[in-house]
Amino acid sequence: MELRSLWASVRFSARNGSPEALLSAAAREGLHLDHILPEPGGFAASCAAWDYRSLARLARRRRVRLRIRKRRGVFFALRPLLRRRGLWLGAAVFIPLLLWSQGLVWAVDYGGMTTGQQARAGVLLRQSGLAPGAVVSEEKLAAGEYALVQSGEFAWASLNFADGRLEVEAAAAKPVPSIAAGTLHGVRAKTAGTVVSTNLVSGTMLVTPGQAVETGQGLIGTARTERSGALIFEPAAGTVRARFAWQGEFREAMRQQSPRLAGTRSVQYRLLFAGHSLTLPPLPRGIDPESPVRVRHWQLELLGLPLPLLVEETTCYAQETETLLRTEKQALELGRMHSLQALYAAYPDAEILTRKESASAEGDELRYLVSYTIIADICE
Amino acid sequence: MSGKPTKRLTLRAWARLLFRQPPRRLYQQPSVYLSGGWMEIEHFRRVLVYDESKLCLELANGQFTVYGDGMRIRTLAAHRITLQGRFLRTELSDG
Repeated sequence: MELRSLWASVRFSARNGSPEALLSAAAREGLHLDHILPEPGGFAASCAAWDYRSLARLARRRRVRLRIRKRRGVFFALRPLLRRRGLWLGAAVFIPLLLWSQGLVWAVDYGGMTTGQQARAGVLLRQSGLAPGAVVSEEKLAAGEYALVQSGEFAWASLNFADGRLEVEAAAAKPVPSIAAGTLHGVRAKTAGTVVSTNLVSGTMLVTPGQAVETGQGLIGTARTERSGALIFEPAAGTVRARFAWQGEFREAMRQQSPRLAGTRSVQYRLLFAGHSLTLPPLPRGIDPESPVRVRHWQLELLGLPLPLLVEETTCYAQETETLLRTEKQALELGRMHSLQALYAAYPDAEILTRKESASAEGDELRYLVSYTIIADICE
Repeated sequence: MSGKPTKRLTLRAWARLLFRQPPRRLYQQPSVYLSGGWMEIEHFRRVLVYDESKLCLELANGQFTVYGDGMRIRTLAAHRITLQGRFLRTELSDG
């Protein structure tokens, strides 16, 4: 099968007159005929559709009657569609729209970022107005770069936009070296205790293990003396671990009105495109607007091709208030948990040596007093 | 065993033999190629008769007739006709 027959060819019959003369004339004119079958009074053959008009002219001169039997090829399959005005109108609208939408974000390329970095960078860029479907401007790119660097997660960031593709390049920030993290006004004790161990990184250690220190006492100084007697200033950095008592008082309710999820939810969708938004279904009544809300964003795709359209899904979870009753034992466990949370929030490296606690019920509350003896870094 | 003594070619004669041209108008001569159920006829002038059992072509200096069974022309171009079928006999005649 030839390519021309795939595009447009016709099968026709030639009758009457002098069919042989027509064959000779067609060959002389260079009109390519194929599949020529003899038939009573003439023949049937195929030719390219664009040769048929010339062939018909030759046939008229030789009084041969041509009749088209079948049209084949992609052209004849598409011809009915080409006559439809709607399709032409659609193409006339679609092509300018496609060219215009090159200024929108179609895809975001995060390069070699980890999944977590991509998610966090995506949130920052969305807050700067750079999300799939958004119109890009130099101001937005500058704001996005600034937001990425300002977050502290990235040492530098660069945003490049071309033909709908936003390329995000960023290098993760490295932790600050210990010496550089030191202070220029010395390190002081944030609580009183007995020094257990010290670790000097920079500056001059002012305390020794076994020494008792008071709150606010200097632990590491910013100056040291050379052998020549000259003072050299450098940042104070290091750790001083001390043993001390940490106390806390907590009140745990044994009867509490607590919100619980009711099991129903409502989902609201919002389409974001070129700075415009379209809210699809309104929130149904009966769900408190103050309910817990989860917002998710994703980009619409068509057969794997990302479209410049962002969908914002807001899920509201209905909740109801329920009275929660706790036993004294449960309230005590809760008090212990809260005390440990408070302790590790204040001293993340705390090492617990002893614990003294007392609990007493006061009405619907449990009063929990605890005293931990711990070893922790007391540098401030 | 005595054979005809081989004649040594000079370099010039060898090169002339290598690049010599075919006789004038060789490729414009009518030609017929037959391969199984296919026949190609080149440089004909006119189709005189064509049906399932006979194809008669006018050549530059005569007529060429193919007799056969179920013959059909697969392609007809300016200088070449490709015929398919069962060929029984061919006939070449002057004007």
